[in-house]
Amino acid sequence: MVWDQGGQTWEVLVWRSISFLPALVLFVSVHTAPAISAGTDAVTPVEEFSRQIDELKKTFSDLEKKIEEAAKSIDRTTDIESARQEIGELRGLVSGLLNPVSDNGEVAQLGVKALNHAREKVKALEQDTRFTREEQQYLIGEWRKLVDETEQATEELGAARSEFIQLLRVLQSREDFIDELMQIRRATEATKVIHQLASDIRAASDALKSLIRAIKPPGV
Amino acid sequence: MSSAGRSIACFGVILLYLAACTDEVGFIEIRAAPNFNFPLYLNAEKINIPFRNGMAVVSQRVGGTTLQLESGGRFLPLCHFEVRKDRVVTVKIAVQSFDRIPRCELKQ
Repeated sequence: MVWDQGGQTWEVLVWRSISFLPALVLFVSVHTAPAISAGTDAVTPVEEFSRQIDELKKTFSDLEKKIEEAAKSIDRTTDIESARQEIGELRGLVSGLLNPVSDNGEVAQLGVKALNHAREKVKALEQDTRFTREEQQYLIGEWRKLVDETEQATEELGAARSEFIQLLRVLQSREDFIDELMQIRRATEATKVIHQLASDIRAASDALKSLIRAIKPPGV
Repeated sequence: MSSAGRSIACFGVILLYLAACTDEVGFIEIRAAPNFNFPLYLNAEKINIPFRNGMAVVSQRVGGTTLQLESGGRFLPLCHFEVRKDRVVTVKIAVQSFDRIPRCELKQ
């Protein structure tokens, strides 16, 4: 009976929590919607894209050290199990970077939006009759510059995306190979693969460093 | 339903709710011929992204995924594969002249 009362109390709490969820969602959407729409009105997609690229570059700088530490740790280790764990964690890091720059990711989608916005702005200004010829040419020139810079940043992001994919593929294929080697009790060969992987990670990390540093946010 | 039964049902609802909110993702690299322009779907979701040089990389929630092609209002499943956490699967869409329906080549 005591359990039953306890169970009922718990159940009531759970149902209350669940029934509270739609209200919470409604409250959050009502209170954030004006802020979000005001944000998109105030900040053009190009500026927002530029800001996201800046953030991405900062995130990568923070992760650079972690990748280098993981490479060192993998190189030093003699324990296959802990090396596998390190490789799994490294895949998690790379995945975290790849997610926003994948084609359906936040930054990549924003890049497409920014590019469309800048191109539409050029078209609109070409039809605009409010300004003098010089003023119109100046505005069109500035927006064309932004189109070029946004295209450039989008292409550089694409190169970084390919590098992330490549690194992820190396990590997963080496992890699978080590796993297969361990299934046939070939620990010495597995250790060799681990050490080779450490230098592959360093090479990939160096390539990524230069790629990420080369990305120039548009309008900067 | 007994109290214990309802408690279990509640717990199940919470688990389903949490499962739906999972942010575990993997990646699909889709390769196709540069002029490939059929609408593609991952499960029921249209891939609304530009293919650059016949290639696109999309993040996808982990689990079984079917790549489908839409042609004449009909869905043609091309292949089914598993997307695993923090891993990439490459799907190459090959169109052969004697075979009008594209085929999938998978690289896990």
